[in-house]
Amino acid sequence: MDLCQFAAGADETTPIEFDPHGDQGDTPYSINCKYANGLKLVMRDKGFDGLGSCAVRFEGEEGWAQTGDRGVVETSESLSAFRKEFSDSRQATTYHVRDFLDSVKSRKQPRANALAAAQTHIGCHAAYIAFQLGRKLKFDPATDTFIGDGEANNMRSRAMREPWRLT
Amino acid sequence: MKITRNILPSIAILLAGVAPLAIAQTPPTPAQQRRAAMAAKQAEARAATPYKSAEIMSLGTPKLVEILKDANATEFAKAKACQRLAVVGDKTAVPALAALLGDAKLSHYARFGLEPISDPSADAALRDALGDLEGNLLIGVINSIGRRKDPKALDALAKLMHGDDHDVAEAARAALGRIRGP
Repeated sequence: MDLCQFAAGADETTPIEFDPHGDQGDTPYSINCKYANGLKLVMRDKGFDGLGSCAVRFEGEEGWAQTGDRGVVETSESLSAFRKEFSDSRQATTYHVRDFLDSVKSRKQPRANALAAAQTHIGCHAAYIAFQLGRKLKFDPATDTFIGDGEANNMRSRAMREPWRLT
Repeated sequence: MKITRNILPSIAILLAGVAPLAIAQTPPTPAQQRRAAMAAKQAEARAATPYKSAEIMSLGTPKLVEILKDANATEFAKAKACQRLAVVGDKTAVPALAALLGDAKLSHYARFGLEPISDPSADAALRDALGDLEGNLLIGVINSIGRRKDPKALDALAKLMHGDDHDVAEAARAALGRIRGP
């Protein structure tokens, strides 16, 4: 999901709607999400065969492109100029370290910064809560609360096992 | 030389046949034995309980409270009931949950159920438990009070902050910070 948020320029927010499709334990399942600007995000467990893990697909007015950790970019015919293979796709972690060191020098945020990570996790947890409850949920990214659903809000946190706590 | 050439492959084949046998006969380590015993005990408990996990996770508050009060219900069933109450629970579940705060194995699950209940009776139950508990169970209750930001607990927490138990005092200090903080 972090790659989708990054590509959508949505690193500082989350979707506002989570709509699960499929029962628990079933596959395939999907969770259809929607951002405040109308952009759609589909979280699904099937359909990325051969792309590796962390696979993503982007669909727009001019075509589609999809890629994953295997280092291959597949596209529709209309975007065939962007098809490519990365020989160094396994170096992603190394590039993150380089990006972090560069950010220390430049005093700018790294691409995978803390806020982007937090918002991605919030979005994933919200999606899973919708999946567990099996119903569409509305979400307010400004307050990190579900709108009009007490049960969903109760699932946002859990009591920690003693003696642990967050301070 | 010919004999050597013939014998060596035979020995290799023999060893290849013996090696898996030797591995198969290796007795389980103490850790493996403990894990196997624990898994068997858990499976036995789940098979014996009249309440199944999936069933519990679809129940409403009255039935869940029944499980908590049922002397024949397993710890597993009670723990699952607490987890479910964390989602659907209301003030009618507070007494049954509060009764488990002193249970070494279920106290955490009781707080799991109590923390999201917005009714003031959940705050009162946690405050009442402060005088009955010690050690980690007390720390857990203090942490839950801090998360709920209960202003009525300020005096009790201030006393605990100056008590002899360093860990309890630290938990009380953290809870006071949460209640008084933003």
